[in-house]
Amino acid sequence: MSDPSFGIHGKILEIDLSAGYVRVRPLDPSLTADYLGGRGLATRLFYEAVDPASDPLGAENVVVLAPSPLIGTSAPTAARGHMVFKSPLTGFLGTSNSGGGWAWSFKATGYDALVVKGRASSPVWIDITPEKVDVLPAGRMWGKDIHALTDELTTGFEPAARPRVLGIGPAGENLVRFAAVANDRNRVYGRCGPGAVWGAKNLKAVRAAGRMKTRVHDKERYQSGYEQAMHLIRQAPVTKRLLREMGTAGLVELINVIGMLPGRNFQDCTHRDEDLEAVSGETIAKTILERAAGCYLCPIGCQRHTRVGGKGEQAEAGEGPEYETVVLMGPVCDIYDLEAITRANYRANELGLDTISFGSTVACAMELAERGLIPPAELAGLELRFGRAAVLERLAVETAFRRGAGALLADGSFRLAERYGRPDLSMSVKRLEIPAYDPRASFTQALGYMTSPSGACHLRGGYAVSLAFFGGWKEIPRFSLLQSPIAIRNMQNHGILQDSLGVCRFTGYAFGSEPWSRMLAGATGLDFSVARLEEISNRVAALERLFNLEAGAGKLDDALPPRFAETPIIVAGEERAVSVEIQERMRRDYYEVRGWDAEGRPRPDLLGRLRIAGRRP
Amino acid sequence: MVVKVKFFSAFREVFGTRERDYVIPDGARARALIEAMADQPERRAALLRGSNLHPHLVLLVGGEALSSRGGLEAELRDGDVLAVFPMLGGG
Amino acid sequence: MSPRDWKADEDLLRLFQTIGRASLLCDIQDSHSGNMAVKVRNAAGVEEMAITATGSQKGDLDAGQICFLSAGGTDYGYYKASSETDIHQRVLALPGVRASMHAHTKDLTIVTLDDAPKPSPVPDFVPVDPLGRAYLGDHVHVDWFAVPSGSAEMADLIPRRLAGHPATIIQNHGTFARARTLGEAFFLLGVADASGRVVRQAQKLGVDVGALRGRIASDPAAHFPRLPGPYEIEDDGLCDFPEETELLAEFRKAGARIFESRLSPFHTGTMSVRGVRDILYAPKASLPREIGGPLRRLPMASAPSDSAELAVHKAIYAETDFQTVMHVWLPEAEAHSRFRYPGEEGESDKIVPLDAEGGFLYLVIPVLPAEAGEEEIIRNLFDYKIAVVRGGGVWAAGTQSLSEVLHHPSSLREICLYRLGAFERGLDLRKMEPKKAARW
Repeated sequence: MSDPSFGIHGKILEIDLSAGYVRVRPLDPSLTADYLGGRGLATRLFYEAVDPASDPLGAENVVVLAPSPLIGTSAPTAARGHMVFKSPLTGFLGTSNSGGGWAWSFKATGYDALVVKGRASSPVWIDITPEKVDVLPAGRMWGKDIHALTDELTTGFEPAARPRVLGIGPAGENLVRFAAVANDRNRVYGRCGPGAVWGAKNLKAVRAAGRMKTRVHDKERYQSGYEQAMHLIRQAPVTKRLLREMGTAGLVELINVIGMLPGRNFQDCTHRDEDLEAVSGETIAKTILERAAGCYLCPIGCQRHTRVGGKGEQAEAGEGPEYETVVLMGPVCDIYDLEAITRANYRANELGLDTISFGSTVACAMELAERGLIPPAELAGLELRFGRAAVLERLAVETAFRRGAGALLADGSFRLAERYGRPDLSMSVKRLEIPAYDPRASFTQALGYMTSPSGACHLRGGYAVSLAFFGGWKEIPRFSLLQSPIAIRNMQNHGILQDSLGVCRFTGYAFGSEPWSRMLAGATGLDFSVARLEEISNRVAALERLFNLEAGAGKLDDALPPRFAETPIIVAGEERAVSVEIQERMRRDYYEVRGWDAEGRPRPDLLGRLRIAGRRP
Repeated sequence: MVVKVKFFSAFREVFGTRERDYVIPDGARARALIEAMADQPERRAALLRGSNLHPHLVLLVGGEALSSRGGLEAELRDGDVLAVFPMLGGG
Repeated sequence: MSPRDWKADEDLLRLFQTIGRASLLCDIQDSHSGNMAVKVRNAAGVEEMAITATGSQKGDLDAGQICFLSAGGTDYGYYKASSETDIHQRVLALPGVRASMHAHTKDLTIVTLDDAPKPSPVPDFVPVDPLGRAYLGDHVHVDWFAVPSGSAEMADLIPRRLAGHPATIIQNHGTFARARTLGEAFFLLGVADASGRVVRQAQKLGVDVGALRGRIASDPAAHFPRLPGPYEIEDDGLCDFPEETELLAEFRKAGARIFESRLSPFHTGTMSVRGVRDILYAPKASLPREIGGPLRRLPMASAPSDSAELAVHKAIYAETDFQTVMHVWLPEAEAHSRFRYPGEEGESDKIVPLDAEGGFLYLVIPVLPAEAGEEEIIRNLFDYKIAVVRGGGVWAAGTQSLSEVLHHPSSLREICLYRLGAFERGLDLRKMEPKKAARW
């Protein structure tokens, strides 16, 4: 065993906002070996600290943020943080990942994880440096949007010493159930509503500034993995060039051609080519794009810095839209107006809204309104129907402030649809809205949405299309019942690894686990063989499942909305739906592959093998 | 037989159009279509590397990856629509 | 060509055509060389011999180029039957033999050349690779003929050779094989040529093949503890998962690539995709596009009847999360597994890529000893995704797809060819290998 301080600092920072204490406790070195960092470590610390029955918007919810042992090294894209909490949207595990530099700055203050408990009696923000940690009043910041908040907390510093800010906007303050937490202005922990959890805790921001280095144990071993990773990133077409040129919205037309681009609240997947071209990555690049950029330490560079409205008074600049935003705020609402989507995206960034859940909730409201299920009086004068681009920006603002028709949207599509008696019109799994790939167009993707611990998320649930169409040599069948359970388990596991390393999904277009294994072993001096990494992913997946079971999830929560079983779409000339029987079979097989019983409970022998001690009764 | 080819992204410039019909012999395989499309050096370079399909290409026939239908050896039918994309990623 | 009713029916024509094309693809013929013969029973129930016409292009046979000979008369078709018709006729008369094939197995032919004054006895060819040992035996006769094409001497000796061996070599010409089916004959010729390639590449790599043969002869079982099982002729049409259309296409795509890129000779090697309770398994992984092979759905639990190869597939799945496994008999890797660096002791336990591409994909590729067990193979697959077993083929594993796992042996072949080329040019491999490779 080597010096435990390589790769990590060995310290957890714990802050209780109710009790008003700040304490530093040692990080048990076995946790690094068993859970790595990022998602793995945060899940473990969260599981230990939280009561699964707690109110997500109550003082007893716990937020854990963790960087990883690779953060602070030169590893490509290794600056991402992971946040775990109980989700106010789903009622289950909230787990969200973000680029941006905050996690890097936080690690450089000398800690491996931040645990926030309790609830402040009035708004506060937390200031972290290697020397001290302060919990300070945030009264005058309350109400500010994320950009203004970031400006306020970062001005007056030399560029080299500039701190990074992680914070919420009005949406979080107003407990919008899909509110985001943002850093570097536009990089967000978007899914599952972490912003509302912060808002409920009266926590406006966490600022971090440090220069502490991450020590690398065996530079040569680390370097061999690093060189291999960088070569493969520069060589793979997707990471080398295409994401920078086209952004993620480059996918719009491709996903349409493969029959997977949803429209009109997932009622179908048919669009006119010219409509889609208006919101394609190519059109973005030709019309509104000012420059591409990358997150901290990212050689790929998919960010879109854009400007709309020409040079006149209406002109404004910002970031986005990326693929999910384009589709959920666009075609899913039957909207093909790039400027309207982009402006609404800017508002979502500033106010702190998850664009996927927001777009899908707008679409759900549009369908409810068109079906006459929402009394017009409750829409506060808004004419809500598919295709009305003018409503987008206004609804983003109203949702963040819970005003007007926005008050109906602020609890997400499931609660909205349930309120009007049609929960089946919410396109969500575990109440988390489905991203921009129709599950009927790939059984593997469908199973990913069903079994993601956080609800319908392509990043936690497994991103099947990437391998089917973009990964080239990793093509997998779309409709194979035999292959789907294992394929999706392996994709989910690789995602757990990436989230636990603090690295970007897009590195997966270039390489798998092996370079990470060498970088990690080199950085920490610990045994992180690929077999070990596989075991860690399985351990984290089992622990996430345990939490969800304890929070009340059952196998019927691992299911798609009825629309996907009942209403087929046409894929390559064939009608495709994901029938209840197909869902049942895939779910059963997935549980078996995971080592869970027929009800989706991890079997005792699996927990024993993974050394997971269940919660004491 | 006639196969319609739709071009996306940078391929629209290389081929100077959004879509074009190609007439190839009945029963021809994808290779014959690609050869017909590669009628200028720049177009050839965009489609082929040596005698194989360029690895940066994503080719879809009726929404299915051409590669899973046999790549250059895939059998085409009259009325097929081939979509030509660069390899993409994201989401 | 005059319009007439050729005797060869569609099935027979297709058989000759597909094997003919495949033999060209794996480069064991020139455009016009070789010949194929099978026994067929005609409508009257009489056994006839169908044989390719002399000088016909085996890649583009038409019905008129297949000649029929029987006791009742000979239909030479539009062409003249092969000049080696007599040989084939006598070979087909051997008990149990229904197919006979001759091909220019160039690598095997080259390694059995000599420059001794003739006539003189020619030493047998002794395979040093597992496929050669399993299917050709511990030696194959090599005969010199004054007239090494269609001669009476050949018609006399070759059938006698083939009475006791599945294949025999005509020095300076090629190989004859006899079998139960034409597919099996082609299989034997593919194995024979690959066996020659292993020896030829080993020689180029400076391996003392004579000494290696001596070591193998003294304890064959220790060198080849896990030989493949007998070649099956009954199962080619079997498909247990016709409903998995996408997976079927993946199997056929990967199988064609293995064959065409010569990662494993025709109908050798295995590959599988894991299901939840069962595995989809191709026991003949190297599959030309036009020639099928069995595709099985088998229970995941190990069974006593499992072949040695299948047992390893199942063990890998039992111990790992891998979704795909491939095992090929790559001649380049087999030859490399015997490589010794000049001035160094013992066979090298790794193959170090010299080329940039290979080097970034794999710092090294492990070469495991012949006796390596499943546990050792699995451990190496975790860390390297691919491992060579000396005398035991190449194992590779993937997390998602067959096309992913295919990439490993395909890269390995290139890595081996670059190393071989550099060594042939007299370059110092040690100087070219990255320093860090020595420690990984």
